This record gives sequence, structure tokens and C-alpha cells, in this order.
Amino acid sequence: MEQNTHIVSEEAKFNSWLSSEKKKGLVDIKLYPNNTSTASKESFYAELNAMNTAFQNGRYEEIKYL
Amino acid sequence: MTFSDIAVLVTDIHKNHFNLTLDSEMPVLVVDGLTGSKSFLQYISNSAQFRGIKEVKIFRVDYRQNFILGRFQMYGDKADILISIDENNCWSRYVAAKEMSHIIIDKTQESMTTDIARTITWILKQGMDTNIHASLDSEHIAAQFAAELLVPYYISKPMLENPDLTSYQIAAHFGVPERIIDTFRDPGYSELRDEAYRDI
Repeated sequence: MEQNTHIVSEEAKFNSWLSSEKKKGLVDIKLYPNNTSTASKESFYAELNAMNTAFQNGRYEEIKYL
Repeated sequence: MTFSDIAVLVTDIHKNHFNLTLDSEMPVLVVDGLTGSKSFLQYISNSAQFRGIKEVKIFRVDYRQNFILGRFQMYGDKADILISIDENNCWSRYVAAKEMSHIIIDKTQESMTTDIARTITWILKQGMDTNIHASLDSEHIAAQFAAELLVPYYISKPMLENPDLTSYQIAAHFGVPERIIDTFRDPGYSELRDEAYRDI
């Protein structure tokens, strides 16, 4: 039986999130990169998606003092 | 925004918001529930002139961090700042200050970014990092603003010129990455800094 596989790129996944956030009013997004010498476009998007996943799954805490 | 513009604005925040003196503690970015304490977040929240932002929340987020220390997202009158949970307190303060600074310095539509593909292409091509001694576009202005905010000129100058103090000790005093202090101690940068603050 042929398996129907559909691989979504990290870039496409992030862009999907971005479109949805723009509909919620997102008007500006800025990144603080560091040491990107070994980063590829896909790995960079993967990290952005990892941030989204962590946030959506509640793996965060609001900073009350800094 | 020039280095002198940054110096004027930061000095105003230090003097008129934080009421800093030579004996003051380091500027606090976020404080919750401590009556009478001043924070940079409070300054932004109280200043409606800054892009109409009414609420800024800062989060430590638990993801596998390799290339991105943090990010800033603005929705209408709200902004979220996400910082990697892997960063120590000094880096968290610097990343948060830099991202918060965007609210103050990015005043035009052109400085807002939602074209993430272009941003990422630029980042990967340029290898942008935390160099605060680079050309003054929005990202580098924010980085420079953050450094100046966290390490007040008049308080830091005698410490930076004291050979008995290591950069690590000064960094720990102000709660910033040691890299910032090393930059401030660079003779070329120090000269630029003196020039920027000369008439203030």
C-alpha cells in the first residue's frame, strides 16, 4: 500500500504560524540571533518553530524581575 | 539615530526615570510588585509615545537554543519578548533590554519587520551577532542602546578606567555580558563614547 507522506518544511511551518499571527494583529517581529555560522536556513526556521512549540506547550515562565 | 542621540535619550532615562546617582544599583528592566521601584519596562509602559504600547511581557522559553537568543513580537498595543531559558541572567538582561529598545527606537513603518524570509536571509548572510560597534541600522542601534542603558556612562567610566577591576567584575556589577564591558574598554569605542556624552 502506498503511504501518503507529506513533509512540511520548517520554513513552510513557520510561515503558516506567521500568517495566522498576522491575522491576530502581529505587525512586527524581530530576532536576536547569535553565532549563526553553522546555521542553515532550515535549521534556523526549525529553531523558530521550536520556540513556538515550547510557547504553545506552556514551557515558559513570565519574567517578574530582571 | 546617532550615538549622540542614544546618549541623550539614555541619560534622560537614567536621570529622570531611574534617578541614578554614582552610588546607584544597576538599572532594573522588569520589576513586579515592589512598590516604588523603577524599571525600564515601567518607563516604556508609562510613555504612550512609544508606538502606543500598553503592555509588554517578557518570557523565558524552554527550547533547544542554538542560534536564536530571543525575539520580539508586537501585536497592536501589546508586545511579547521571548528569551531562551538557557541564557544566564546577564545575557537575559541584555537580550531583553535590546528587544525592549526596539519599542523606543523603531518609530517608522519601515523599521517594523514581518518579512521574516528577508530577515533570515540577511542574518545568515551577514552573520549578525551582538557586535555593538557595527553600522547603525535598527538592530545595531538597539544593541547599542541596550548596552548604554544597562551600563550608565558616568557610573561606569571610572570603573572601566580602573586597571584593578577585571571586565568580569564590572560585568557582574552591572549585570551584563562580559563582552559588553570588553567593547567599552576598547580604546576606539571608548573614544566614541566619550564624544557622544561630551556635552551632556
